[in-house]
Amino acid sequence: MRAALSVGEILDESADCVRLVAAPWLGVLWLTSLPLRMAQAHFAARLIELGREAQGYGDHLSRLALVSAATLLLSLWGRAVFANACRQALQGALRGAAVLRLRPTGLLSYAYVALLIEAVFYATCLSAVAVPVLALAAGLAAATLPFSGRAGLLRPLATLSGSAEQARPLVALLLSFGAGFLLAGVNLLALSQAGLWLARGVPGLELARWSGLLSPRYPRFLCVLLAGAWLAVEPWWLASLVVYVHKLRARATGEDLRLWFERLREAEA
Amino acid sequence: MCQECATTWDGINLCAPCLARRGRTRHAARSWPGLLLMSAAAAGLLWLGARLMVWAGALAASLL
Repeated sequence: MRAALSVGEILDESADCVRLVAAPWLGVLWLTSLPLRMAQAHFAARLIELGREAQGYGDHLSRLALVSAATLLLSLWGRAVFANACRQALQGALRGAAVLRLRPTGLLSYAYVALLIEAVFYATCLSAVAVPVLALAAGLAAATLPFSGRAGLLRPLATLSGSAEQARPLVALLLSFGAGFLLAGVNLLALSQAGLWLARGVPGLELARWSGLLSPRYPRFLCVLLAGAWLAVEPWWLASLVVYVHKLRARATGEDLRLWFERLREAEA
Repeated sequence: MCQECATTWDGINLCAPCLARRGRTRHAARSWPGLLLMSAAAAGLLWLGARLMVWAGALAASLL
């Protein structure tokens, strides 16, 4: 019996993978994700500002939610393209603009499942229990579905559940990236405070306003900080899930054994 | 079959007839009713997601 997939190996390979595809596909991922994260941050900040009166601003919030939904579609395309770049890099065949060529069926099935996960997320987010599972499902959907040619309402879900075969590495990845997300947030906060501290040395610069705007007690800054932390972690999160799916598939087809045998032969020679 | 005659597809070395059979299966897998159903469901979910976002947000804000 073969051992479970190693999380260390997955993380190492995902770091190499992100380095390989960084120019330009990391930029594509960030540019397509940025509008969504900013729209979500603005929505959350408005909710905090409105507080208990939020229920009286249904139309305003609906407009913001529709903007967020529109930017979500752009973000899904960016995620699918980035996952495709990682997949091609792992196969040793990163082919420039060919990364953009995604199958319409795969893209549609990914959009359908991602929107379903998004709807379930908003319906259950107050409980907070389902959030990690849904984050994992959304990541796995990006790593799997854009490359599957299966249309239908249930087939993409079956493909997705098939990719969640090994729970242990997935839980470990979730915990690692949860910690990574918090660390990225703390680092961004430290960076903003360091920038503010350095700016104090500039003569004649009025910083009272900026001190308030860059304070963690200011809700809008906190929302942007969380959005930034997610943007920082997202490429490695997606790449690690693509590596996980790639390894899982290699095991199913016996490709990993063939590579292992080749390595043995090379070592002997 | 030697490795030079085979083409690797999803990690498996396949001969030309097997490869053609796979290609046909993939082509046949594109079912238009399934695609239409999925498109309609995605559009519905986009609208529902926006509604749920407002509902959950307003509910959470009222609890603050």
